[in-house]
Amino acid sequence: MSITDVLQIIVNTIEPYNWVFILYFLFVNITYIILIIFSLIYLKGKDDRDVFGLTGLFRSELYAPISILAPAFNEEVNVVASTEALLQLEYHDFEVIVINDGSSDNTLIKLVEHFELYSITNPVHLELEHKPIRSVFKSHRYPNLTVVDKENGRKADALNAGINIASKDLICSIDADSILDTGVLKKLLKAFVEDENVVAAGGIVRIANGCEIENYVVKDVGLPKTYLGRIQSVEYLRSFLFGRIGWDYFKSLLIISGAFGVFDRKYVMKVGGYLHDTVGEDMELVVRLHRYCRENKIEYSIRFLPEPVCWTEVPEDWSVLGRQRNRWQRGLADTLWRHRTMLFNPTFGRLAFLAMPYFVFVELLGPLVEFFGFAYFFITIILGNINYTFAVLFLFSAIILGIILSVLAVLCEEFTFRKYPNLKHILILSMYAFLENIGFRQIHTWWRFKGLFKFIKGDKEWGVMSRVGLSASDQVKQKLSMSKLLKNSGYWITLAVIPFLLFLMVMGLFIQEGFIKF
Amino acid sequence: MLMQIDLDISLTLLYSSMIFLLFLLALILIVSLYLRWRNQVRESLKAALLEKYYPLIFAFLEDELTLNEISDQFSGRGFEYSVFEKLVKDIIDEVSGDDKQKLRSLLFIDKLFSYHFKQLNGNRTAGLLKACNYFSYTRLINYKVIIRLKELISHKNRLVAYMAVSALMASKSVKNKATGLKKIVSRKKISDMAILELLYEFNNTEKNEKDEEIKHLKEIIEDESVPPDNKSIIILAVEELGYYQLQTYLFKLLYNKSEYWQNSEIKGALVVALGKFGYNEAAPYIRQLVMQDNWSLFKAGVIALSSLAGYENLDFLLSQLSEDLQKNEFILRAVLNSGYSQEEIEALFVEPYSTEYSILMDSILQKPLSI
Repeated sequence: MSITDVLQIIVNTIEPYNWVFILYFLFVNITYIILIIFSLIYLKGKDDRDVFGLTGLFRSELYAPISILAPAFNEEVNVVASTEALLQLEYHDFEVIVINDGSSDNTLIKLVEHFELYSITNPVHLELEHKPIRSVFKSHRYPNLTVVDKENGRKADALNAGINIASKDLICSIDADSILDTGVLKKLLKAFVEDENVVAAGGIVRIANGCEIENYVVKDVGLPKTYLGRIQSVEYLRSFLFGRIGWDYFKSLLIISGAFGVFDRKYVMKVGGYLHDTVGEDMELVVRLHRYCRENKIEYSIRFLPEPVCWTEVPEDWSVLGRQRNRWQRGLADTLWRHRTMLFNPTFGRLAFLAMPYFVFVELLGPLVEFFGFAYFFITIILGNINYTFAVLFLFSAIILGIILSVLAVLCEEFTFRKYPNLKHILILSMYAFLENIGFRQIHTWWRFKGLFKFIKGDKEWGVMSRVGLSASDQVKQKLSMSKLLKNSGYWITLAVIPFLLFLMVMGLFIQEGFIKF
Repeated sequence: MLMQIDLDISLTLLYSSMIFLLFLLALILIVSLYLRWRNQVRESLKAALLEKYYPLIFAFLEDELTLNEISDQFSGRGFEYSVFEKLVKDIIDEVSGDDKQKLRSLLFIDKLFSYHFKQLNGNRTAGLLKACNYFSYTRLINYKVIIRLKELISHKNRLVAYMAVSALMASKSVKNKATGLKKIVSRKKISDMAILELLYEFNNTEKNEKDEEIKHLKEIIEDESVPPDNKSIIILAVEELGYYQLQTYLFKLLYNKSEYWQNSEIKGALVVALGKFGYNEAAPYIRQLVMQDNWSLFKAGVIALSSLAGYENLDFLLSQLSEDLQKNEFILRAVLNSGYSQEEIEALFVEPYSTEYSILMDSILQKPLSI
């Protein structure tokens, strides 16, 4: 039996079910369109951003002050600057807790020297479990700075230690590389003032690559210089400006980014803090909070606010990005599996019938359907038994729809925040919204597909997430790294092959229609 | 399924949808570019206005221009007012003394007032919020504004209602301020933070209006239509704001037998407030409460007694140490916070509990208590 025969058998097996791909395609895109419509409605009515002045509240000790938890693992290069930046935030009552998660470099030494730290012996009540704390330090320079030195146990473990040490009502968890806008805490507080039942709130995460950064403060907003950075700029806009806003509108937000989220400490304690044995601890905590409140009939809300901005560095290396997306997919699968009883369970209201099905059928199983869809498509091209007119029209419609969704996210940005200053930025983003769908999207599907399989195999490894850094010199270093270019040549070839296949399909169509004759 | 559909129909559908999608894409791109262009025009207009207003404001400060002359510069567009207001506010933040007062008067220009009054009488949420913010900041509250603000307290948007009360707090009349406060705290789902902010605005530290404020606060506290969670934060804030004259009044409320006043959230707040006021007459009552089997009242009682301090209260608290480790921890933390040293407390322990307590002591986190 030749390879062609095997491929033919595969095609014959799948063919009666190819309507599944079309239905899935329609379902996914209709869901996205609904989310966009509601996000636009939400954003249009939100031109009240600058009119919320609070004065009296900050004179009271009864309001909710914030503990910022910053886990740090081998961050000797940036830890001093990032902590200094956190200490400069505009807020009346907050503390910064840096958790040195068993770093093997000089992270702790740098902190001790710069902030004139001294060890304290105050006993700590360890309500949440985590790896042992070696020491707790306070600073002679900043009374609101605490540094916790503990054994390595990953981010969730470090955050749990921070929550135990925290003395304020609200906790704000951030990533080591997060850069917060100075007024970010005041803006987030708005969620808690507007609604008395807020147990968690997240802000928008934007990409810091390409921005001009001085002392861990974003001075000038710019676009990343690389292909991957720009593609992710479009992805982040889409994900936050209509994904999160849309779900917030439906009161069904299931994700608050690990890079920046504020939680009511009391509720985090009640649900047992962050889970250690998952790679998607941020989403898992939010879903567990939903579950806890719903099961205990507690009135609550989990909010997303598009105004408070946190800047983060995104990976601009194919392998690192691949590992990140693989981990995200495993984290998603793990969370949905742990809380599978919520799906279509009336106890959980709209979560059970809106958000959970979306995350299961679109985000979780999407790569599976897309992978087999793409595979089926290419096999039929190879075999030549395809109606080129149908295939080309369908594929191009899908691509254009993908571009429309991404360009709409750019439009949302234009409607509201306009962080990108130049017209050139908008044109570049629109172009990358187009490019994303040809090549990158297929590679992304492959990463997520692999993530799903790794989850089934029980892989809970975090994976090495090397960062380049955001200073100008770091960016130069990255540009000079030619070896990475060669190492990632497979991805670049894929990016070239997919447009070529599209070209072949169009040619096939022309031949089929008789426009080209041999 | 799809296989059964005529291929021609599918192709026609696909052709039409692709054309539609291409048209839509082009439209969205055009709208995006148009918005960017419009925003750039606005930005340049803003820059031009700033360039125009800066010298005018400084000329006004130097007495080279009058309010009327500045007022004449406005053509009546909302955008002009927004830019002008923002600029004046920014400069106010940078200066001090007489200049600050003089600059504030720029915000009283008739045209600005009329513009915001018009917004206040409109329906647009953003306009309402901006207008409330203007009146709150400038404290230009006349009777017409007050009438409209009072209407807005019942607005279905809680943020508008809150901002309207916040603006009412700029009124010179305590009665008006109290009216706003009463209405908003009677609403459900008003956050503790919003109530606190308003109570701090209600509390006038510049003028001595304490007696009148207290009279209205009593009415609010007595009002049983106020949800218990709102009531408890009001009671706690009354203590924090230093309304000492209400101590006895609050103490009497503890004896009110109605279901509303027996609510543990309200009762707990009363007890904590009295403890923090240092109202020693309440100590015997609070001690009784601590002995009852109600966790939230127990916590409130312990906080109150540890705030009252004094050996009698602290000894009583230590006498309440039992088999219940959770209660013990709460008591020990409270006692530690009220000035006892760890050694002093440990010295009080006798066998068979000493080891257990000593472990417990080691696990206590020294931080403020909350109920």
